Amino acid sequence: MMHAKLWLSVFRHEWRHLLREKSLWLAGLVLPGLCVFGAYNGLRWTTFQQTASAAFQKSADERLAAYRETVVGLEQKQAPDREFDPRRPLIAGMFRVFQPAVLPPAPLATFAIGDRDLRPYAFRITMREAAVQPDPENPLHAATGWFDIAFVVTFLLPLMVFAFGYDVLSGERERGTLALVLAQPITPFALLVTKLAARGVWLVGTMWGAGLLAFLLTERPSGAALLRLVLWMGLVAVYVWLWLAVVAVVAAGGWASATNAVVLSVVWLVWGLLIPAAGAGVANGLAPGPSPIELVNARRSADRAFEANEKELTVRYLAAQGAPTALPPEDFSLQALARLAAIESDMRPLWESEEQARRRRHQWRSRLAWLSPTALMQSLLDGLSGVDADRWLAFYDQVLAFQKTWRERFARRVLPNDLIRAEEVPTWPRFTLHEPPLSALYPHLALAGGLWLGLGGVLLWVAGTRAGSAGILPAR
Amino acid sequence: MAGWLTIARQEFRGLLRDRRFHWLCSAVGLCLLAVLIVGWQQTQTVRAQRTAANAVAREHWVTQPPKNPHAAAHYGVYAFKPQTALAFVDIGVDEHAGVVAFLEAHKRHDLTGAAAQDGRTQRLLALTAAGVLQYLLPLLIIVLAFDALAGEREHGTLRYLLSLGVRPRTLLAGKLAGIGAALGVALLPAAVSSFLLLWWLEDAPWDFVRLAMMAVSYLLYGFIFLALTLAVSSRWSARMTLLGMLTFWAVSSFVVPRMVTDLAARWYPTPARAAFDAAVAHDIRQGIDGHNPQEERLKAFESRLLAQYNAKRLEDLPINPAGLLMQESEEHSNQVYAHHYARLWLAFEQQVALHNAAAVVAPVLAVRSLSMALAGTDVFHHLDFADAAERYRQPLIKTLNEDWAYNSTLATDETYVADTRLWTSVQPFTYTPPPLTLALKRQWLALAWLGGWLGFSLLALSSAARGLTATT
Repeated sequence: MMHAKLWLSVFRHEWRHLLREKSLWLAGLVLPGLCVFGAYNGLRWTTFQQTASAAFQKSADERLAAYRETVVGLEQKQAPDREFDPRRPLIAGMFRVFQPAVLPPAPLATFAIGDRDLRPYAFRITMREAAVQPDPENPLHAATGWFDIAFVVTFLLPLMVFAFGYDVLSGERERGTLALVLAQPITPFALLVTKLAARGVWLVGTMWGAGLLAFLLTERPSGAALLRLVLWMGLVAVYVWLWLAVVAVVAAGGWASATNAVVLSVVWLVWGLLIPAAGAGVANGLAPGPSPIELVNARRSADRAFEANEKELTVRYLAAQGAPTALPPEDFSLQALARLAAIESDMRPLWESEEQARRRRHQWRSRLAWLSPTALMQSLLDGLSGVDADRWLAFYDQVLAFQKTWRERFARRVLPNDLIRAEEVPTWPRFTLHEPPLSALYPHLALAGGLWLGLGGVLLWVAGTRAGSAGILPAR
Repeated sequence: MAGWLTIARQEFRGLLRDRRFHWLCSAVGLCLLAVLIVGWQQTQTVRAQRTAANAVAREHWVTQPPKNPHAAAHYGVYAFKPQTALAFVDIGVDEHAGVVAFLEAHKRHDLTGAAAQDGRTQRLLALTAAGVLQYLLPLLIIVLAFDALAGEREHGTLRYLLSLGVRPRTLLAGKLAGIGAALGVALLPAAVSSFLLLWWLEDAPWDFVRLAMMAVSYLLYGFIFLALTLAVSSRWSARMTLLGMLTFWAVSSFVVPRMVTDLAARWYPTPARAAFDAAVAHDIRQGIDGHNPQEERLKAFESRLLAQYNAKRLEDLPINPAGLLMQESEEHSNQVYAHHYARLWLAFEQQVALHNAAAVVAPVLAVRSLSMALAGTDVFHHLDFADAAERYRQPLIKTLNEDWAYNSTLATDETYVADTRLWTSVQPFTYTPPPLTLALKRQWLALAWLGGWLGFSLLALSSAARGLTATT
């Protein structure tokens, strides 16, 4: 009880002292300023994505409407069927119509840009393929990355924690006031903890305020968005706790302020930059997959292989479909379908290997992220904003599944030459995303939160031991 | 012996005895060596792969079976961007830019196959020699030099030195030379290795000139940080020097580049894919000025053709009008693509110019641009390759269309096929990156700002020398 009162009294004193610090107020303006700037950048991305997706959908709708008009015209004229008749299923499915598949921004999307510019959010689905629709982007921007709130939290917040904590005890010692303070009935460790707690409360409060401000300015309030914001706030608090614990261990060592700053910079460098960068390299090395060049040349080879044995492969295709294998007169639709099947058959092992490598790389990146709080925080914040790899992969799986059914819709009608009718066009399915639930992220959030709370606790215990055993009064 | 040399020796020896120096320099030096070797190995693989791919693409083209030239125009050619030898030092934007150009009739495709498409890279720090030099070298310098003068002052030795008659300029020059020499010792193995690795990779003399210029750029960059750290250290306490320089390092290296990216995208926006494609399709249909519709244009061309051959019907022409009409469409769409890509490239160039302009507050942006330009991995090299591929595509399609037009008629259109003679008459695609002078000319702003920072750091040193007195 006595201890608690004393701790509270030191905390109050430290709080009042902090409030008089000009640098703290400056940071109190800078942090929310950076967050709002980041949120506006996120909003720009979100708006861009929404506008681009709407334009893409509009172009698909217009194309479909024009196609339907053409079919209506042909039906009214009772035009006879021709080799390249737009009503032929293959001509329609491969060349005349397409379906857009887009990944919409999730709630809280303005809080993280993530790899939104690297992973395609729009696919053009035809009978042949699900083709990506990459926006023209300056590669310098793709290489540099974007300034979003997730960047402020993940990389800059730890630096702020360090800046306010690196001299928390050493500064007192260097000014000669530490001995005076420790003349009171308080241990060095208790002093350290209360001083850091005051800074932690201030930093978390500032970040929460900044987050709330950014939310009000850039997000459309909804239950889902609010839930994500609450989780974001919790995550930020635990993250600050972890970095404060790191500061505590270093500060308890009894080193000079400058040495503390150097050590903390190295910790930030290793945890924040080197491990994530090495992790990405390791993941790529462990699951390299075929290169784009290999894929291009393999596809061309498969195409040539079909050209060299066109008749034989067409017969084989007909046999596989249970159709009569006597070759009908040369027909573009049959030839194109047989070519598609032959190329896919040749390419499948390579495509599967590419897909497996993509997923294995993601798995390795996710596993290795646990070695670095910044990498893990980045992936969790991306998850809360719906710009993470898991959500994208779920979208991509659905795109592939939709393309398969879209293709089947036309392919099964090619051999019987079942012409497309105008009345059926409006009934064709559209791609709708089945959003993976946010609850899929809960175990990761809980595990990361638990890990950081635990690790922070251990680090504080180490700090306590160091403060007790090494003694922090004498300067080393 | 010159006084500065004595001080430099003292500083050099002191650092060599410093455990902090051992640990940090070993870590950065080894890291640099490791990324150089890994980068070299990767570059070697990629270069071999792309050279082989270009050979395979050529073989695919010349050995394609006989077919109508227009079918061959859609069969197309793949052009693979060769990787420059110095990519092992600075990969630049290569991982984020496409490497394959598909060249076919009617359409100018964007380059595809960027390695970073599925978030393969960590964007804050690329683990390359350039990444280590741009981001870790300044940190190493700050950590080694922050107390060079402030420490002397705090220990009382600065006053002693100055009262002995050591001139402030001599003291600063000595410190600069001593720390610089110690850093040089730590980084020399990596510098020598990079030349040796380049020699094993390629023996083009210009690449050695480029590498030497890169080394000079990084030397200047290091000097700037060292000079600034010493200048700040001469006035502030060790603690404040460290905090101030670390803040400058973090803000200029990590915060400013990302902020500039967002501002550049906001001020010089680029269109979404759907909007870009729609604008191109519109202009192909309606003409760039909107008053030259495709249908009328082609009708007028048909009339000119009939008049030229004094014929009444297309079927009566001694040539195949389909090939010439196709070429007429190509000429128009080439203009439309040139117009839209010029606008897109202009936006990219303005964005890059903003990055270079921001080097006024972040020297890393200047050295990064210069380094990428010297390595041949910057945005301009990427655009240059894309333009070269387009310059190859246009005559390729023209050759095919004209062969189709002048070797068949409408009556023989369906049966006419071209063969190996036509395929081999098309020269293979070759690409030569822009010369060094042009690469540097495009980065004049970065070069100017690096010079500006150099001048500023010298001024800061000079001012620091004036401010150092025995009563400091």
